[in-house]
Amino acid sequence: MVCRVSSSAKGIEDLLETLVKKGLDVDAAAARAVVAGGEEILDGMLGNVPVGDAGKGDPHPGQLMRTLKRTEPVLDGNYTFVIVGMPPDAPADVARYGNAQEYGYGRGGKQYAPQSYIRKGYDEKKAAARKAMKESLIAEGMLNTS
Amino acid sequence: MTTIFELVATALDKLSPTVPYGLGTYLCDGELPDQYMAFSLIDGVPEQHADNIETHRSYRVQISIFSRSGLAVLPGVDAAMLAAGFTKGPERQLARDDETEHYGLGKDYFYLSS
Repeated sequence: MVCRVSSSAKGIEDLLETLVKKGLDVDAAAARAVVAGGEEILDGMLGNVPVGDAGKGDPHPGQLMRTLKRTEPVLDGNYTFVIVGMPPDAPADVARYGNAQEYGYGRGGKQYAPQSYIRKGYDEKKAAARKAMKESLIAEGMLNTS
Repeated sequence: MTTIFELVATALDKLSPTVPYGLGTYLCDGELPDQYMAFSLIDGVPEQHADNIETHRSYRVQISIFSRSGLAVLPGVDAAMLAAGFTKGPERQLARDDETEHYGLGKDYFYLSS
């Protein structure tokens, strides 16, 4: 069960291929673009993540929020992406807690509803992420706005 | 206007045999049934605007199915939701509740309203 999402340059491969033919440094531009998109998605997750309240018995309020991260861009051939959400090096208890919050869980005869922050954060910010990626490419002269 | 909650409830009401369900959490007096469900609205996101008016909104709903007999045989939620106009999304197994011995499966569905 994965508790993270990725922001990639998928869907604009044709455009990137055209840019390659022009001899532009597409990899670096794509990396900066997916970082811009990933930041938007991370912002969406941080805006939705349950924080907890020490006054109500939460022993680690804000721990889940502090754990969520965006990776540095990864280039796998022509595929450029960042991963946003629960990082691979997250402590196991935080990862389990994050999963339980995202999808809900049952414990002690009671069922707890999901408090989604991964899916909700992504859905809410996917349009903003695409816009940020596009604007990043425009700013670097990789996209023509006309 | 029909709400997303009405749409889901109407779909789940058509299951045969019936399976008890709740919004968010399933609450009951006494012991939980062998099989029950709970649904939650994960998000509702505007998808399209025209003339500054929202024209489309997508909803993501999670239906969690809990069963003591495992997850091999499940109620026909897919068929009921598809008939109600939803599309199927990802699903994942939920942690087993060791106290009640229920296994869990969370299934996402999407609905595009206009």
